[in-house]
Amino acid sequence: MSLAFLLIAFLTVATAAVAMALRNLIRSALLLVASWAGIAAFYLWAGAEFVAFAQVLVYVGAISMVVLFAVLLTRPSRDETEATPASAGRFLPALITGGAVLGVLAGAIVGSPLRTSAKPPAAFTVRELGLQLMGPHAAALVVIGALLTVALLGAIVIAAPGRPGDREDTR
Amino acid sequence: MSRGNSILVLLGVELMLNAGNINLIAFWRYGSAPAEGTGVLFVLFAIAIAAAEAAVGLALVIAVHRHQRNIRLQEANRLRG
Repeated sequence: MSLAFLLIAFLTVATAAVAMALRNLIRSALLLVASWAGIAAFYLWAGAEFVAFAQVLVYVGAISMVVLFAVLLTRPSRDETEATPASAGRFLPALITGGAVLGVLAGAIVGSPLRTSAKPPAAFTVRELGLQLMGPHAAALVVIGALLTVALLGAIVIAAPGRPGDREDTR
Repeated sequence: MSRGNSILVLLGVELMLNAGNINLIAFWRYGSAPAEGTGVLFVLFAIAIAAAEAAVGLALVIAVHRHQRNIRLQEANRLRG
C-alpha cells in the first residue's frame, strides 16, 4: 500500500468525520465535498477513471450546489438558537450501530477470497463501458434516465412555493 | 440522526452511499473478474440514483422548512391533515 493511497484514505475519512461533527452546516457541507473529492482520487487509484470523473461531475459539481442552495434557503431566523447539541443519550447508540456495521464489513472483507497478485488486471476501458451501456444494459440506462427526469421534476414541484392562483377560487 | 438537523441527515445518507460505492469499486478491482466491468456499471447507476435521491430529499427539506420555519428533525413529526 503506497503512501499516496494512505494519504488519500486518511484525508477522505478525516474530512468526513469532522464534517459530521461540526456545528456550522456550511462548513460541514464543504468538508463533505472535500471528502467526495478524496473518494474520486481513490477511484483513480483503483483504475476506474470514468467513475472518478463521474464522481467529480455529479457529487462535487452538482450535489454540492444543491446542498448549499438548500442550506442557504433554510437559514434559521436571527433570534433562533443554533441546532441542538448531540446529547449523550443519542450519541452512544449511534456509535454502537456504526461500530457494528464496521465490524460486519471488516469481517466480510477479511473472510472473502481476494486476489493479492501484484499484476494489475486487464483494464476496463471507456469504450468497453460504452458498449456495455448501449448493448446489454441499455434498458437500465433508459430507466435511469427516466428516473432522473421524474425525480428532478418532482423535486421542483415539491420545493416550489404555492401558486398564487389557488387562493382565488373560493367563490 | 442523533444531531437533529435534517440537512445533516441527508449529508450522512450521501456519505453512506459513497461508502457503498467505494466498497463496490474495491471488490471489482480485487475480485474475480475485473475485465467484465460489473462493479463500474453498478457504481455509475448508484451515483445517478444517489443524485436523484439527494435532489428529492433536499426539496422535501425546503418544503418542510417553509411550513415549520426551522429544520429540526424532531419537530417534523406531524402529518398535516
